[in-house]
Amino acid sequence: MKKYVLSILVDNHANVMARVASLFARRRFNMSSVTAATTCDPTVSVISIVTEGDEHNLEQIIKQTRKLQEVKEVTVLPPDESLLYEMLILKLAFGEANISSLRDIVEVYRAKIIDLTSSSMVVELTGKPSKIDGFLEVMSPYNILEMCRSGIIGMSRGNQSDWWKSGR
Amino acid sequence: MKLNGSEIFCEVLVEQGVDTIFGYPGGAVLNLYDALYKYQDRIRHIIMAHEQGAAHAADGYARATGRTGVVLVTSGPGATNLVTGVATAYMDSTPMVAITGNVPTSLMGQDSFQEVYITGITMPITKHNFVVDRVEDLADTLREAFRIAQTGRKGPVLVDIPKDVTSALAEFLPAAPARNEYHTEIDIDSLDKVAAIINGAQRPVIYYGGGIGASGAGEELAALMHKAGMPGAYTVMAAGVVSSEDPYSLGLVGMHGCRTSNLALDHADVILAAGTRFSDRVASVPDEFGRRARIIQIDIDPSEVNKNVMVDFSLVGDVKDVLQALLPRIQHTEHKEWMETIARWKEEDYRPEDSDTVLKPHQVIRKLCEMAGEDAIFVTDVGQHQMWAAQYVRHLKSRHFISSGGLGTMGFGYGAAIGTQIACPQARVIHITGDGSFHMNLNEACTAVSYQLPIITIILDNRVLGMVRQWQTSFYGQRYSCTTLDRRTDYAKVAEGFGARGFQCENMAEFENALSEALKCTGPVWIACSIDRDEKVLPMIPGGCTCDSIIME
Repeated sequence: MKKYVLSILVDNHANVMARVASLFARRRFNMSSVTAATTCDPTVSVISIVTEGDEHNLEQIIKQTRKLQEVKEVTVLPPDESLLYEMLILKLAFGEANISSLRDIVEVYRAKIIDLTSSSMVVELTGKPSKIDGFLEVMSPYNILEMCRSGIIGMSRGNQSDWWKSGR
Repeated sequence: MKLNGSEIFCEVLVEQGVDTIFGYPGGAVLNLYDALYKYQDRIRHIIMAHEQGAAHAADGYARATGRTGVVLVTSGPGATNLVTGVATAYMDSTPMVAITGNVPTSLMGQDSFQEVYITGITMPITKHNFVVDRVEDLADTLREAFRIAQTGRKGPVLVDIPKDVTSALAEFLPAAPARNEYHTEIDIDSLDKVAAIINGAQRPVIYYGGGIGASGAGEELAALMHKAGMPGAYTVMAAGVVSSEDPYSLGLVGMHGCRTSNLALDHADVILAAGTRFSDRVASVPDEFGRRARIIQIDIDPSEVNKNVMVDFSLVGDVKDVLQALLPRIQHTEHKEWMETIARWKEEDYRPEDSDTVLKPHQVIRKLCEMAGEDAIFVTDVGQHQMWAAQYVRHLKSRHFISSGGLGTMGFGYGAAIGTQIACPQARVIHITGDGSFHMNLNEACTAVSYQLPIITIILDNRVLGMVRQWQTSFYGQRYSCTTLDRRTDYAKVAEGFGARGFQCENMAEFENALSEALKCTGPVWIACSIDRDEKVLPMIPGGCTCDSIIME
C-alpha cells in the first residue's frame, strides 16, 4: 500500500465535490483526506485527495476520475518533487506544571499559539504532513481537548503545470 | 425569438432530431406536456403504464436504432421510478436522455410535495446529470446532454428541470444537432505490434462484446475473423453483431456460454478482446482468464483497460476505427490445426434433448425463430429464458437481440419491446420472458394495446423463479426458499382483460397453432408455454470457477 496525493482540477460547479466523492465511494477507492477550494480562476476548483493503494488502484482512480464530465485534469503529485502542506489546529488543557514544556515544544516546531485562556490554549501548525505527525506524537502525552487537520494540499515545484495560463 | 422553457424544450428535441419520446405526465411537468400538445405534429409522445416501463422503452428504442432514447417524467416518484431503467441503460452503455421535472426552484430543498433529489440519486448511474437553474441555460444544457449521451462510450444523461424554468421566458437560438465528437487517435507502433502478435498466433481467438454493436463494427470484425483465421466468441451483449452461423463464430461465451467458446479462450495463445469489459459473467476468475494467452484489448473507454483482467496490449479508440486500421496489417492466415480442435470441441459440446411430449425451451425458441423469420427482433427479460434465448435464437443481425446484460433487470423486456416496436414499426418484435420477470412489468400490456403494437410475448412458464431455483438445486441442497411461486395467473384471460390476445400451450402442436395465429394478429399477443420446473440452463460455469468446472448435465 502506497500513499498518493492527487490534484484534481474541476469545473467550479455545485455538486462537483459530491460527484468525485460518489465515484470514490461506489468504486471503493480509498480517500484518507480531501480538501477543495476555488483557484485563482473562479470557474475552476482544485480538489486534493490523499489515497492509499497499489499502482493498479491508482491507475483505476485516475482513469475513472478523468471520465467525470466536470474533471479537467488529474495529476499525481510526485512526493519528492512536490510541495505538500497541511495545517493543524490543536486545543490543549494545561496546568502550572506543564505550561513551560508545552511552550518549548511549540517553539521547537515553530507552531503558534493562536488562543490562550488561563487553562487552555489553541496551537496552529502548518507544514509537511510528516512534521504534523511528529508534532502530534510529541503532544500526545498532554491533555488534548480538540484537534483538527486540514488535509493535504499541494502542487509541484518549479515552473511547470501553470495550467490556468496555458490556454486550457 | 422569446420562448418559454417548455417551448425551448420541444424546440431542442426537434433540433436534435428527436421525433419520439416515452413518458408519463405529472404536476411538475404540466408545462412541458402543454408544449408537447402544441408540438404533437413533430414529437410523438408514447404514454406508458409506469415510468420504469417508459425508461426501458426509451432504452429499447435506443438499442434497436442506435439513436438516443428520450424519456420524460415528473418529479418525485416519477423520477425514482426511472432509476432502474437508467441504471440498466448505464450498465449496457445505451445512449439515453432522461428528463425529470422538479418542484419550482423556490421550493427545492424544502421537502416539498413530490420533491426528490434525483440528480443525487442518479449520480452513480448516469454519465452525467444536470439541474437547470435558469431558463437561459436550458437549451444548451439539453444539447450538452445529447452530446454526452452519444459521445465516446455511450450512456444515459439525466436533466432535471424545475417547474419555474419550464414557464420562464428566454431568447431561443436554434443550433445544429449534437454529434459524436469522439475522435480515435491510433498509435501506429502499437498497431504494428498488435498486428504482429495476431499474425504470429497459433491459436488466436476474438472475444467480443457490446462495443462492436455500439460502434457498428460488425463487418470489420467479421472481416478480421476471416482474414486472420481467428474464431470469435460473443458475450450476451454482442449476440448478432456477427452472424452466429458464420463458420468462424464459436458461440456464446461465459457462465452459460457453450463449452467450445470457453475452452477456446482457455487454450488460446492470443486473445483479442474487442468492445468488451471482462465482466465477471465471462472472466469469473480474472487471474485465470486467458491463462495461456497474450491478451490484446480494444476499447473506447480507457478505464476498461486493466480494470478486471490485466492485458498485455491495449488500443484505445472506437473499435470500428481501430479494426479498420488493423485490417490491412493482418496477413491472410488459416489455422488448420486450431480450427480442427475447435470443430472437435463443437462436436462434443452440450446438446439439449428434444421431447415429443412436453415443451422444451430450446425447441420452443427454435420453432419461434423458424416461424418469425430471419428479420425478427428478439427482446428478453432476465433469467433462465434470457439465457435460453441467448443460446438458441439464431443471431443473424446486429441490434436484433435486445437484453439487459450488465444490470440483469427482470421486468426490462416488455417496456424494451414496446420501444423496439415503436422504433421499428415494420419489424416483427418477439418478446421472450419468464413468468417471474413478466409479472414485474406486464402492466405495459395496456400500452401495447393502446398503440396496437403486434408484439408477440412468449412466456416460458415454469411456475418457479427458475434461475434462482437452479442455483438452489445445484448449490443450496434443494432448499427452494421463496422460489416456488405456483401462481394461478391465467395468462390468456389476463391478456384478454387488457384487450390483447392470449394463448396457453402445453405441447409443440399447440405452440405452433398459437404462434401462427399470433403472427396474423395486428395487436399484442401473449403465448404462455408450460415448461418443467426442473429445466436447467446448461452448460454452466459456477461463479468463481473456470471452464475446468463446467457443468454439462
